[in-house]
Amino acid sequence: MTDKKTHIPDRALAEAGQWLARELEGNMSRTERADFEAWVDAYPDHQDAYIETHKTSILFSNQATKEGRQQLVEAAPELRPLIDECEDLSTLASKNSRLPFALGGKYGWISAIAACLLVVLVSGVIFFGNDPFANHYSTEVGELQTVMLEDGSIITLNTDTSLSVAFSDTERRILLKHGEAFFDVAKDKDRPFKVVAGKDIVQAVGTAFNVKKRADTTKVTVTEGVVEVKSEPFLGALTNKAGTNKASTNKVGPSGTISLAVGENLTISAAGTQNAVLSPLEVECIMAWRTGMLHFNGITLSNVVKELQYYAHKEIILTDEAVGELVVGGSLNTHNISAFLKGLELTFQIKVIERDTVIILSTITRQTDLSSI
Amino acid sequence: MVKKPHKGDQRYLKHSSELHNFLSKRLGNPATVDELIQDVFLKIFKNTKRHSVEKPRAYLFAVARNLLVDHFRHNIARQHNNMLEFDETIHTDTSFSEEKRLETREDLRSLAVAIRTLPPRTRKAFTLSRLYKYSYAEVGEMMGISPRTVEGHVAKGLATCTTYMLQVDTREKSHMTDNIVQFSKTVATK
Repeated sequence: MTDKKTHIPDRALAEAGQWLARELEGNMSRTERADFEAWVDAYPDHQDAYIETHKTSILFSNQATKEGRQQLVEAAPELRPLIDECEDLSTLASKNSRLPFALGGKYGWISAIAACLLVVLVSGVIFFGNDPFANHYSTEVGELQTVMLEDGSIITLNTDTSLSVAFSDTERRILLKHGEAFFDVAKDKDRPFKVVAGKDIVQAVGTAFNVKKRADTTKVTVTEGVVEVKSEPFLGALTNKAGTNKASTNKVGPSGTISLAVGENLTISAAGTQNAVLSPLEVECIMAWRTGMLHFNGITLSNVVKELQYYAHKEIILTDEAVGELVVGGSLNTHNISAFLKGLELTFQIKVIERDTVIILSTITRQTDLSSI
Repeated sequence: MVKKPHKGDQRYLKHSSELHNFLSKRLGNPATVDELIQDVFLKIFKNTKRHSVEKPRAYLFAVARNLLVDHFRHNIARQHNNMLEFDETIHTDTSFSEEKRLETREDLRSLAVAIRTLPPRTRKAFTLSRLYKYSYAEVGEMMGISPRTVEGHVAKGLATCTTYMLQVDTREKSHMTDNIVQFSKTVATK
């Protein structure tokens, strides 16, 4: 009972691997640390899995020298091609000084282009139905969650997001019901990775991209590689607007798909489809939610509030049109929205009143009307 | 160090050889095992409510698991802080003699085979990260993938290799864990 080392569930081992992989790089946040402790304390299986995974990790660390690797190759000659390949990569990396790594930074790797794909148009309903094998993930308002799928792909769910994952031998399907998620897709050319968001399908083999689904729009942003997007409104809407597209390389293909490369962004709504090529900074702004930040630049307060509502536990109310028309910019922490709104009082002629369930914004002349609330 | 045991403490002490086996299988080095056994009992004897514990044996092993987890977590900090000294330590360690190397040949083989059980991309990312100690960002740069994807590969590699290592004979492995603990102790005393 205490010593069933060989009976540790695969799931516990998989999770232990995820935790340790995070821990080894030494960049666990305080929240993650707390999550880890909750996880490891939850079941003896988790503790056993963590302990065993650690042992494995140390065994490898012990061999992490030139001599250590040599010993491994001597013990198992079939490992030589792998070690030779890694040795070459290592030599190459040390020739280029360490500097390019640092400078290339966030976007260095983005330049690597992933392979392309095929698209099949099937509706989300047919895709998923009531698939009993699908895994469901969701976040509450204000919550962020990262999950690793069995293929090594990583999904980060933004606030108030719900999605299902169903893998088969021929494809990896994600149904994004609502919200926003970032997909860092592990390469598997035999199983395309498809994200279905309403009538829009985003497909990749091994890339990274963000999909934001709101009631009336779907927004896709690519941070690595190439993805293909298929949507019903494409054939009509995009060809009409072709002249206004900034990205001339992206047009609707014969099969009604648009392919998006790194830094490209596609907004699909009933009003039409917009394709834009973003600067690395703009991409970073779009992706900032993963660090709990939102960046706005020159948009109206009513639009800001519309977006903030997805993160806020309290209802944000604009009492008059004038408030909503204010143009604002800046960065805010999604965990402290009321502080951001309160801060607006310093810059604008507005009054912000916070109550248990609501935050009310109004132009300063209305202040007296609100005193009774 | 340990107070004179209370009569009721026999409920725990009678499992001490079982506890010894449990820890030995996970640690290898007898000195560390003894240290941890002592810690386990210290922790239990400090707990004034221990007599009301319904399942003393389960409680004993729960404490042991917690301490093992702590032990390994501290090891991470050491690995992280001593990344450079890390490599030098093993090979200046005289206990790592020719004889020892032969003894561990089979163990090294298990480890190598464990790597071979991984899918190609995972194998490469895992090797660059764990056997070459490149950061996830660096491995990502080399392979044209994101650091997060590298982390995913490392996670999968750790889980898969562990599954494999659990399958191979535990007796075979005990030699290797001996080395680990000797090594971790050397680092600790630096």
